[in-house]
Amino acid sequence: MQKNYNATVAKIMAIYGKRLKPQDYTEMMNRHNVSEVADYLKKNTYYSKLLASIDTNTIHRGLLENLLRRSVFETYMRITGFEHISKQKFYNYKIIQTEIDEILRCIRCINAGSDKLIQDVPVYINHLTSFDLLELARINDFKGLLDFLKKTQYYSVLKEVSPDENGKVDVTKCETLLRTYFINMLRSSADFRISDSKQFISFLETEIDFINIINSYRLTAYFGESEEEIEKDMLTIYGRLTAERHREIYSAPNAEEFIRRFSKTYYGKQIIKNGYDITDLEQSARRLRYKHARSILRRSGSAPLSVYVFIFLLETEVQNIISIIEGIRYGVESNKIASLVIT
Amino acid sequence: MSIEKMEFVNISGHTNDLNAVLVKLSDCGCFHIESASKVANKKSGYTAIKEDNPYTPLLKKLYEISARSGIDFKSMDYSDVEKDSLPVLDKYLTDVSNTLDEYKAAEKKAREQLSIHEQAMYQVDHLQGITADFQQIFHCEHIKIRMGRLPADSFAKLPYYDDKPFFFFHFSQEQEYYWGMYLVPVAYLDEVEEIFDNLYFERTHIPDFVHGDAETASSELHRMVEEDKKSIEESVKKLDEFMLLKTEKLCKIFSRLKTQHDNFDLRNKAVIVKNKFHIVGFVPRSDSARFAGMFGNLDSVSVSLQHADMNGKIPPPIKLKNNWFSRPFSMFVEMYGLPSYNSINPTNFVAITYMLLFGIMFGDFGQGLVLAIFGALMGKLKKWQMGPIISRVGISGAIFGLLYGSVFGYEELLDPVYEKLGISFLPLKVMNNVAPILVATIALGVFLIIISILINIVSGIKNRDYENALFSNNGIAGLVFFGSILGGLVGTLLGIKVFSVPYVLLLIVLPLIMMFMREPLACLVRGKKYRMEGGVGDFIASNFFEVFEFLLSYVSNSLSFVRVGGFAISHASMMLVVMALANGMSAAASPVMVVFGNIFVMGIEALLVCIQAMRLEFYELFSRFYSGDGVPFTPVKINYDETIE
Repeated sequence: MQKNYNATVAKIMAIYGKRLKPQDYTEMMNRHNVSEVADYLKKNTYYSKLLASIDTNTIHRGLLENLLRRSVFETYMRITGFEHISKQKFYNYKIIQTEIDEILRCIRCINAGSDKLIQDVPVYINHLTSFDLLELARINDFKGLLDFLKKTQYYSVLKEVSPDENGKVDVTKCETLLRTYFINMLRSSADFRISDSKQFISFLETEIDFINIINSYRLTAYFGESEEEIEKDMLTIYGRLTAERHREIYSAPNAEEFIRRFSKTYYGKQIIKNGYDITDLEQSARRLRYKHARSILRRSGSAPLSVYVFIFLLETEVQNIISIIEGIRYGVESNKIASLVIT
Repeated sequence: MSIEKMEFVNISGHTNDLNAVLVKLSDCGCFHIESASKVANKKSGYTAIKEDNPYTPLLKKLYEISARSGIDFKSMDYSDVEKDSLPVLDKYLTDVSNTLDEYKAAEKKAREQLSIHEQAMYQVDHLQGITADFQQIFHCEHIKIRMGRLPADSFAKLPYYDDKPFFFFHFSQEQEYYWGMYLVPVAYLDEVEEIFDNLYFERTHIPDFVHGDAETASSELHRMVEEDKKSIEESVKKLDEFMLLKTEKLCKIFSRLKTQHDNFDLRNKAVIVKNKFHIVGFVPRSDSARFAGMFGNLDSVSVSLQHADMNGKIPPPIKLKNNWFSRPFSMFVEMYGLPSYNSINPTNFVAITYMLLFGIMFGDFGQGLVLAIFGALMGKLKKWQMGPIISRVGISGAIFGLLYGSVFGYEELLDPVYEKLGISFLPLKVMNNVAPILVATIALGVFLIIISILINIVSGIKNRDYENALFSNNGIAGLVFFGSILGGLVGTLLGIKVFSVPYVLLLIVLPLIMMFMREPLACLVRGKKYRMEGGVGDFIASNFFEVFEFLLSYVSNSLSFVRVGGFAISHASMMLVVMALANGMSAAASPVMVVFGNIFVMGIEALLVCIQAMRLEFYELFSRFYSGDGVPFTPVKINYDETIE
């Protein structure tokens, strides 16, 4: 049974109290360029410490985004180091998640023939990963990747995947296999009290279902894939929606019918009830999960559950800032930017 | 000491009069608006008003100007600009914004120059010792040198480029950056520059006109930095002077636009049925007569009033009515959540119990008085919301201090007074009565829990929530069970045989069964059929664990009050330590120790006791009778501090 780590939960709530408010996002959207946004973050929010030595007049957009992403990881390390809970197996999830993200980025770079992987490698986590991220960035073919991963747990996950005659690999299939592995790992390492376990599983189920829904929606709406093709790319684990229910949805002939069938599900009804735009599935899914996470964090007294949802909320906050920065940088209308911000 | 009675209002009139009505509603300060579509009859064929607010774009422009210039708009008389059309205002704001952009751009340019020169200066300052001319270094024919700083994360990525033809040397590290330079053969310059661009290398341009060695270059750069700073000051001064000229008119425009914007937004709450608008909401009953008379000059407008809970569709908003004594404690109630309309206003209960608990835990006459004076001053001078609360609990602390005989930690000061008065049982020395105090505080806790349950029962019956009032753990069944267990325990301690078979069966087992079966019993009382969800097994399992939790909560909530005695003892103990330290010091130092010791203990104890008392209120007491799901009464008004999204 999970030991009480109330101090960690209290620390999380203290940090959560400093989160950005809707007014902060409004202020940032009123700025005209990346420097002004960085300046606002430095002078008015808890990111001031992160940006203390940064010259906001000359900061590059990419560097700012990398710093923000790094801040999430540093916060994660801080809260798991507070009562030394990082030694427990469950808390390794962030490292594994990052490793999986990097492997997938590597596969995409291999397919695209790009050598730009190094640019966004999160080198600050390199001392904790089970493989060298810089060495991963050097890999330029799938066989090389498998050889590289031979001594890691990811080899057994990816060894059945083979490249085609052009050396390209089915990225969606790799993503499906790795995400399935990750979710199963989460489920097996989570040691919660009964009430917290239910909430965690419920949150995870939403994540699983939305991965499947969004993937199948993309394949239906943008690629017009058949039901059989879509099925191959689905996660083999399911959440609240059963496999049959998913099949019923993605067997829709077009995007409009897909949305109509989806609207009849529990999630569809929740999206409509909360007033989100159901035709913008990805954004609505993120909003629903965000709302669910906030509700869990308010009520949970469990350290692992609080850590998991808090980091999710923090990542959403960083994504909001990045959306604003990129929107301003590329001259997107403020209405459109505002629609991407989740609060 | 209750909840303000409300009247449900229905205003209707011709659509031509809608704007005039909305202005009056904003001005009256007593109208809480609701969406009329919540009560409108679908068969009436009503349409909700969904219009884009035409004032929003201009307001957004104003907020942008405010954000970029740093001026805060405040409300002002705007009769000067009232007649200006929106296009005229738009042009004015655009002109201000464009001029602001120019000034900002000039400032930004100056700052960028300063930043570049400062970086160069910083870099050059780290190169002290280079005696060669910089121009000679930078004009090397076969090798190019680039100086600047590299983010720490990028520095860690340099091993990836081990096979590339460059060397990077760093001179110093500063938080997120490594300052240094890289050398690259001319033939590979483009390739290596691209690598460093991707690594976010910030190049420092040592200006061409900087000559000489490091020392000479450094003093030249120091001079340039001073000039840049003056230039920035000039730009900022010009911007401030410009904004100073414009501030008054901008505030007037803001006041006008915000008023019109907020009034326009209210339109979305109304519905239209055949050229007639309908607006609904609530007014306090005490203001209803004045409110109804406000629309006398609008012929088409009629106002109908009815008791708030008769509308059935919209819960009335809550405005607490508290007396002078308990009003400051409404902050705690609002923190937890407002009561629902027909329930009880718990503010008086909170005021009395909070003061009681605080007084017991803090008991010191002198410290209590100091706290009371401090709270009163803070409330009056700094308008601190906690001020009046602190002053009240300070008085309670002083009263209990009298009972304990404690004055600034001196436990014997009041002994002669009580002797003279002939009161032998006072003062109650805390440190000599540890066990009785702990038992007494548990007894107090039990008493307060019983009061809370009684409040819940009364409230439940008033609201016809029979499950809660009769059969729940905070209803009659719970009260009988809890009281019987307590009665039995007390009787047993006193040597009286209380737990007879009829006693146990009727007063313990029967209430337990009622709690277990509370949902079906409540349906029976209401004359409805109970529908079991999930099967008998589920019902038994979930109710068993819930009843188990109820039983545990009786014990834990009661024992939780032992902390009240604990804190009373800890307060006395801390003062004992202060006095012991003071006694061990010299005659000069001892009073200083007493003073600072008292300040320290007062500060720590006041904070701890406030938190503990609040915890007991919210967790042990409120959870028994209070749901806090009321909607606050918020009369419509123009909020000049609120920004729009």
